[in-house]
Amino acid sequence: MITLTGVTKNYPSSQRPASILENVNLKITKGEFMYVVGDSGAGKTTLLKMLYGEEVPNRGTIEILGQDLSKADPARIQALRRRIGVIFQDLRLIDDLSAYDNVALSLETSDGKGPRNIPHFSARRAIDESLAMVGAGGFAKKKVSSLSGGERQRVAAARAIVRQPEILIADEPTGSLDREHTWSLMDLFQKMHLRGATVLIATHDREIVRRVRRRSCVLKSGKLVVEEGICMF
Amino acid sequence: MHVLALRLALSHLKQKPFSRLVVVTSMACILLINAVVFLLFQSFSTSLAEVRAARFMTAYLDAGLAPGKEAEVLSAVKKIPGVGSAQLVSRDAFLSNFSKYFPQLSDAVSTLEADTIPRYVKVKVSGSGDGDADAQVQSRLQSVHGIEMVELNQHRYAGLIGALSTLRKLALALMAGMSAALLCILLNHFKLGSAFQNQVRTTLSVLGARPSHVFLPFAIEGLIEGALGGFLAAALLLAYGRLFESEMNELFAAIGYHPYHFELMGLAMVLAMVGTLSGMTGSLWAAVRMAKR
Repeated sequence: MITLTGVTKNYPSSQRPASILENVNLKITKGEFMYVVGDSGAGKTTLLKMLYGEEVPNRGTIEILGQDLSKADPARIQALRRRIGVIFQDLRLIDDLSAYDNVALSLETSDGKGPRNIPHFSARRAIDESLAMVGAGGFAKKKVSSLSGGERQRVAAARAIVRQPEILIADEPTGSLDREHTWSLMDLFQKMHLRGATVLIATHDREIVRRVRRRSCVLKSGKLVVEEGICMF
Repeated sequence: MHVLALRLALSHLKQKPFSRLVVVTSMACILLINAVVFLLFQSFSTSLAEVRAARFMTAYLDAGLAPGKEAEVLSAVKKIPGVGSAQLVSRDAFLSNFSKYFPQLSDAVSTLEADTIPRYVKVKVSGSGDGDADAQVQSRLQSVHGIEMVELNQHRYAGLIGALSTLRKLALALMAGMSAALLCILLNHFKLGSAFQNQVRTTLSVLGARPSHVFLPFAIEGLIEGALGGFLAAALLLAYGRLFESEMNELFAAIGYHPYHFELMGLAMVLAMVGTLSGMTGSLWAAVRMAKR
């Protein structure tokens, strides 16, 4: 489902390390639940960005949902993004809209249909359900700009799951959450996983990894620190 | 998506209300000035066409020409290419006309010797008003036996024609300058606005939105802002027409033309449309430009 082969990413700027990612090889099968663990600056976010086409590797190839991203035109990349749910590290919510509208935007950008063909008439129910699942139903009508960090993070999670994506990518999804909401969000990810979604979570929170045990790979200074660069159990 | 795009556009429009008011007002003013200048341009053009079309020549007959030969001269004149129509004005007809326009002098004129009263053929020149063609007609008239002198009446209007032509060119230059200023203001305004809204664009993009969805809020925003400017300009134009029509008519009546050759309501609608379209395309241009970076 997701295959990275010899992926290397570097920036020309001298401010950053020479390579953000170096010769990363990774294979994630369909329906897998996996962590990418690493300290800040290890390259987790860059790795995830490459999976939905926001960053392009300098070397190597990325194949996702059967498509080689290096050969995909912009329209194909957009179509691919509609099949992926992402909780961005910086959340990327639109402050001027309500929590409900931010979630609705995710459905509406695909003409009211998700990858699993959520029709218009059930869109409202799907949005309400998603917000309820992350405990955001109580502030659905509030403008995102007026919400706290934790509330915003839950809205971002609701937006990522509302389309019932084939792949769910979460970049530090629990960074602003208290413990209670952290575990409830992890439960949600497991539910999505049980429904068949491939889940990929980048985190520096080792406690999550210990408590919800799944395959994990460790990124350190842009390298997968496992033997021969292949991420293992 | 359309409802959300509209909400996004409206929420963005609510930001920086003063700068938006300035842009909308500037846009309305520039459109209004352009419309007024366009009205003047139309008037100058129509007047110019009317003055050029009224091309008459006066072919004065020899003082010694026998009255029986007048008809022969008239016939020869009518055969000249470029002559539209020709009319003999006899001494009696001249005196009659003169008395009509200057009754206080008619008695004095009637005492003049017959030879001092001119006889002439009034010639209307056909064609588009080419100066060379007119000179040819004049030369041919001059060569007709029995004609003493030919006067091109156009010369009387030469100054007016020159002034109208210059004014027309000035009006065009002013319109071009104003349009360029409007374009600069709009593009700069939307460029700044688009940078501000870049977060919305990138968010929609990473969510997988199609380009039509990504740029829709920008198109709506520009459309609303442009429409506000356009309709304000249209309203001001109609108000201007209503308030100053009689003054303009009086002012221009002296040189014999109506200043509103263009339908004001039609022009107001054009202004509203130009404002709306320029706002929408300006905003879209800025957003697409930002996306390509």
